[in-house]
Amino acid sequence: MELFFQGLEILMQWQNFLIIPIGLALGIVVGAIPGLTSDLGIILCIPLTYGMEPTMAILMLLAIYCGGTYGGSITAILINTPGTSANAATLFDGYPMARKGQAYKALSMALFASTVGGLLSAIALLFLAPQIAKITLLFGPAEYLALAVFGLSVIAGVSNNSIFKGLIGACIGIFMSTIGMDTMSGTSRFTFGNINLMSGIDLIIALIGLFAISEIMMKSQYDPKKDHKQVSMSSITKDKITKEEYKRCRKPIALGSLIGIIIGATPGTGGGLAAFISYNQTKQSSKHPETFGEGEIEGIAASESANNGACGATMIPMLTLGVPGDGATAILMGAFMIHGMVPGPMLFQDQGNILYAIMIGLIIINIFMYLIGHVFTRFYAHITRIPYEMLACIVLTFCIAGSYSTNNRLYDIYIILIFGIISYFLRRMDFQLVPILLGIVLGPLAEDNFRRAMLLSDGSLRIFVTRPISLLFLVIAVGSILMFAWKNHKSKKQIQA
Amino acid sequence: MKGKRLLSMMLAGLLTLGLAGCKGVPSGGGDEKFPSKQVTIIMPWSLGGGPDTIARQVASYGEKYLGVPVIVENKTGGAGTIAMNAALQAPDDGYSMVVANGPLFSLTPSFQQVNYKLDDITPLTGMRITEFVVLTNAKSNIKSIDDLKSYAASGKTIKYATTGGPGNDSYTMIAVLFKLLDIPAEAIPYDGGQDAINALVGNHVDVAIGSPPVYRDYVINGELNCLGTFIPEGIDVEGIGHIPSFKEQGIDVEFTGMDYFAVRSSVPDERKQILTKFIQDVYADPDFQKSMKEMNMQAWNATEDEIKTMIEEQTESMKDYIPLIQ
Repeated sequence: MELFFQGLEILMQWQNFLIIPIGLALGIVVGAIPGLTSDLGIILCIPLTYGMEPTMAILMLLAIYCGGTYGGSITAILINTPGTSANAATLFDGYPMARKGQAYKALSMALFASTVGGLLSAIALLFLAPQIAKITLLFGPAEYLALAVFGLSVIAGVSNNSIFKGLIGACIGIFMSTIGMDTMSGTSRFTFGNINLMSGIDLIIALIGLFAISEIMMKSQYDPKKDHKQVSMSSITKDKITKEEYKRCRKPIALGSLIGIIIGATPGTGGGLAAFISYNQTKQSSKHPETFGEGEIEGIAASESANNGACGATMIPMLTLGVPGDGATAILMGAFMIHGMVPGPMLFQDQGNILYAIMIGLIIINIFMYLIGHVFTRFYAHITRIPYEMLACIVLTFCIAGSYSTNNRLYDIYIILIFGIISYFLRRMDFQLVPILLGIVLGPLAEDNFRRAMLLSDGSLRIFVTRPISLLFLVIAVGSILMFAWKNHKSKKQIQA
Repeated sequence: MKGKRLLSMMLAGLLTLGLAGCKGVPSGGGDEKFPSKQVTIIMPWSLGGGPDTIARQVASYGEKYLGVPVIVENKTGGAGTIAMNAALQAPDDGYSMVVANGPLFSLTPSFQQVNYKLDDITPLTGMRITEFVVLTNAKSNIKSIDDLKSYAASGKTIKYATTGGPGNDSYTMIAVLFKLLDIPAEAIPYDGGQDAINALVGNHVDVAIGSPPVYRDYVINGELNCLGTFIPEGIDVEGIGHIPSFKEQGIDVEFTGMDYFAVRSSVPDERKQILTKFIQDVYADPDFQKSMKEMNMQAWNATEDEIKTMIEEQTESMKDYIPLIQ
């Protein structure tokens, strides 16, 4: 408790309250641009923090991280391209809402859900970090595989009418994730001797190609004369979230935040997976699952509360065990070290007061995020008024610049174009892109941990069912698939009758 | 109208940020004063890791000691070969440095085809030494090599966590150790040092290999035991004390991991000297030393000849080790 008050004292300096909004604004902007992620924002700002006090420096970087995770939803809603992989689940309902002219409402809900998720996550970090860390250590290869299978079971929920197309999509995604050097065996796969493919295909590169480039190509039949809807300026921000809608979204947000915290605290997963699982669970437990994907505000609430719910929780394994929860926290860990804090079991003992300052600061960051986001949302909603023929050029420029900046090589630009063309044809054949993305994200997690588990168990599959956590995830996965099959069966019967 | 102006301002803002994200494009060089534009350090390892952190610290002193910005570009993958290729394809004008290690030359060529050799680069200055230590979970009651032998004698295959797959230095060395001990053991490759240590702390594996500062806290608070290190003279770690080497324990295996700054060997000599002096000036800077101490790290100020000799010796010993595990 003494450390808590010491932390509060360190936090209560005006410089900290100045740096948080700056970090957030930066984060929201980089998050919103496809190809620029909060990871990049943090890297670019680390040198700026050299001269700062550790608390102030880390708070700035955390603000970029949280802002970025929320900011990605803006492009997901407005131009059907997730700004970061964490926001991919926001597309389902965000873009349809924007097309219906409800962009402002969708953006406001994304902000509200992100804030609540982020706040709950920060509170979990503050009070439960040591306990959650102990559970994290129980996760071995078998548990990770089961978690990945559970994640893949989401495909059943998101591939709408054709489960087979969903499965084919997932296989395409898993195939893409196998390209490159296989670290377990030290051999390269599907690289055809091309050195550029050795490091595999970056998630963010695949994301830009799959979503952004193909989206622009899909609009090739767009006719500026008749397809562009003139929307009056004043009507855009008029459509506010109603009380009834807030009430309806309470459950998805609570569920999403909880899933976000659990998944976020599990190293190597991250906000994207949390958002998909949360979206899927919300859809499953909803009384009107058919409205999901058509512009259902609960869908946005579910996915955005989950990805920001993961934000604070990814810090739990990082601070207590020194294991980063996702890419951005891996970079944050480097920043902690630069400021003289080596994440790991002793950090709470050695520098508890600064840690408390940072953890309480995370709550402040989320409150500021709501205030700043609220101001920004009004302006962002107007992006829907830009004629698409102009917007497409701007988006394409950012995509190419962003993909180049990921690894500083031209090769990645070819990859986004190739992915874009493949994705375009898949979309013309009515394939959903999300199963492909799930395959890319979860393929390596599933594969590496399956192989590790097999090595540990000397080739016996029993390892997956004899360990309780692993068994639990597998049971939930099977249960959720069966439930979908049953619901589908029932609705088909209804149609026949 | 107001809306349009606002929008164009917003877009202009976004565009500037996008350009900032692309980082600066170097302007044309010549034989004028060196350096006259930014210097790039090509980094084969991922962001936030030990070498990356040190390189970024060094780079932050670019303006102070070199008069130009120094930036770090991560080109990860292919066990470092991708960065190596990028460095050799860059112009030999001294504006591109690369961080390399020993295994890129002593080990990687035995596992994959590479199109570089030691003569292609000139090491400028050392960066850090990696001291691999073999650890066990305290709950397993394996406190020494002898305990390990008796554990294996009860018919169990030891599962050990490595920080990467075949071709990786930690994988090779710990595999060689078990071969020399003649203990049945199986490698479980993990992604990086922290993952391997956590697998051990979570008791998913029997043994793991790690390097400081990753395992240090766990040994101090009694969760992990050290069995020994590959550094021939043993190491002294603050808070733990002396960790004996395997050599001292009568096992003929040794390995010293190292990272260093290098440039293409065709870079003019005076430019090599300027870059070497830059790094050494940074190493001597009190602020730099202070931040390294805070991170529990130490810069390794070795000369070109020292580094080359170490790589050559390492290549020789690998010729004995690799057939053991293939």
